Amino acid sequence: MEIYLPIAEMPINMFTILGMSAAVGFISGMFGVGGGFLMTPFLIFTGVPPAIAVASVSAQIAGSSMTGLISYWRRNAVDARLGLVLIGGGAVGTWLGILFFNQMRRLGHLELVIVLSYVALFSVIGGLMLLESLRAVLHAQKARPATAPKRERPWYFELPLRMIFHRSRMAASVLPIAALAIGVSFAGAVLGIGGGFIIVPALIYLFHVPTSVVIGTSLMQILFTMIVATVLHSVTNQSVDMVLALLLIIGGVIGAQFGARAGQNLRAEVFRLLLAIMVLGVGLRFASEIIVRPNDLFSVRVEQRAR
Amino acid sequence: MKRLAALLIAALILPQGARAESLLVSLSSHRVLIESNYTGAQLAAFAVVERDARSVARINGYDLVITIRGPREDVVVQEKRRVFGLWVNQRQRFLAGVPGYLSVLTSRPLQDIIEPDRAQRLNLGLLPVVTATQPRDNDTARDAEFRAALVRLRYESGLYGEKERGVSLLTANVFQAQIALPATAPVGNYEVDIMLLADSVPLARQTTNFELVKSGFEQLIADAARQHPWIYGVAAAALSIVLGWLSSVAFRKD
Repeated sequence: MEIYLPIAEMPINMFTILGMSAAVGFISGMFGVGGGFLMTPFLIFTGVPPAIAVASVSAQIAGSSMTGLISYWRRNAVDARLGLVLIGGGAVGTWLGILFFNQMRRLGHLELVIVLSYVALFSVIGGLMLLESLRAVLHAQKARPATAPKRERPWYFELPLRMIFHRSRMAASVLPIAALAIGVSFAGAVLGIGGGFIIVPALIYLFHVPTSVVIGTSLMQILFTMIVATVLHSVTNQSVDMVLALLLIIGGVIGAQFGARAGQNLRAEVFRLLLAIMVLGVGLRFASEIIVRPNDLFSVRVEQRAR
Repeated sequence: MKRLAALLIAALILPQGARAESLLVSLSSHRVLIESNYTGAQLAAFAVVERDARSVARINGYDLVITIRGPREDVVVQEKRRVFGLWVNQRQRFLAGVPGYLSVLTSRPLQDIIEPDRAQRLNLGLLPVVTATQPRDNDTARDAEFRAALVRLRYESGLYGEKERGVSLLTANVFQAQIALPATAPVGNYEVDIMLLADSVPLARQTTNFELVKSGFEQLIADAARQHPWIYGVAAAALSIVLGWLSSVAFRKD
């Protein structure tokens, strides 16, 4: 059944979108990630204009991270103080990201920027995740006794503006934390991703945040930045399609429920390996767009339409 | 200016009184609504050739060329080139005011109705119509290549089309044509231009139009997004949050 998208100005098959968002919701429920990094590319490859895909997915991520945050909050698995610092950085990053997004759109480079960023970001991060998880899987097979590595305090903890984060059992400067949030939310606003798959490992490896609070805390930041992104995309480029966002949320919510159950029976290393393969897959799919000779060298972009 | 020129040309080639056919044109609808289940639309166009005492007999019969032009758009046509092993957009041309939809329906293949160079002058056919929208000065072969690419791409996507037998004869003087709008056809005003010819000579020309508009809910959303972006954005974010919260209530495990 086709449904007309009033902002994208195109009809789309409702069941394709619901099925797609349910599948992405299943994966996001399983891995505890937002799933924007799969949803946005899916929509772009379905033929939704990239700008509308990016903006509408931010509304969907806001919804799914709200659901996630509530359940982590109930289990008391959120470091609200750390979350607020991340939000502060996130607000700046999102704002910069939207400015960049609109500038690139005006110059006509938006699609190239989205494709190249996906290629670069996803190949690098997917590759790193794959290496790390392969190592973990191999180590698990050797069944080495798990010895907690002795952690040194990294130099960037000692920068000015230090704060104590009780829930995360750390005392560190807010500057590197805010810088991380700025970078991730910048990418999030431009690419239509929540960035959970970047910020979660970063908090664990760079800031030694305990795994028990890391997902809940990052969801707090993602929720906030995606709300800001949704509003700013609406205000500055009018590309949030509410009908599309609604379909994505409904599909995503249903999928996430089943995904969360499936995820409970999965080993942590296998889990990370699968996630790494998916991230890398998205990067390679985008890479094929610019490496393989296109069928048609010409393309048309509508700049302005008479009303 | 362009329109004025076209009118002058039409006045020159259509001397008043010498040929006495006139055209009566009717569309099945002047307003096509986009609703939530919209997947494109079909319109019927009827044309009646009216003859009077001065009309001479046309041995080879009449020919009709119907040109449907969608709302004007400014587009950028880009060409990919290989740079450091990557296919990226290298060259581009800005084409102002090209039709967002274009369809040429004829009673026979256009080249049988009129010779190509005269068709060009009368703006009959896909490429001539697109070319006519572009400024003539400094027109290079490269520009022509980009225009041809635009027509080809839009032909493939169904926004531009040519139907050799899109106009059918109901009786000797009554013609009928189906106008097909694909789902992706842009919202706005559509101009239907009908030209009557016999033996390669244009006899009469009539223009009418119809509108493609979003209906109730679709229009409401589109208007809200454009006219009240702050309210729209906050509403979209609020909708997402409320749905997220509802799902956490609905699927609460304890």
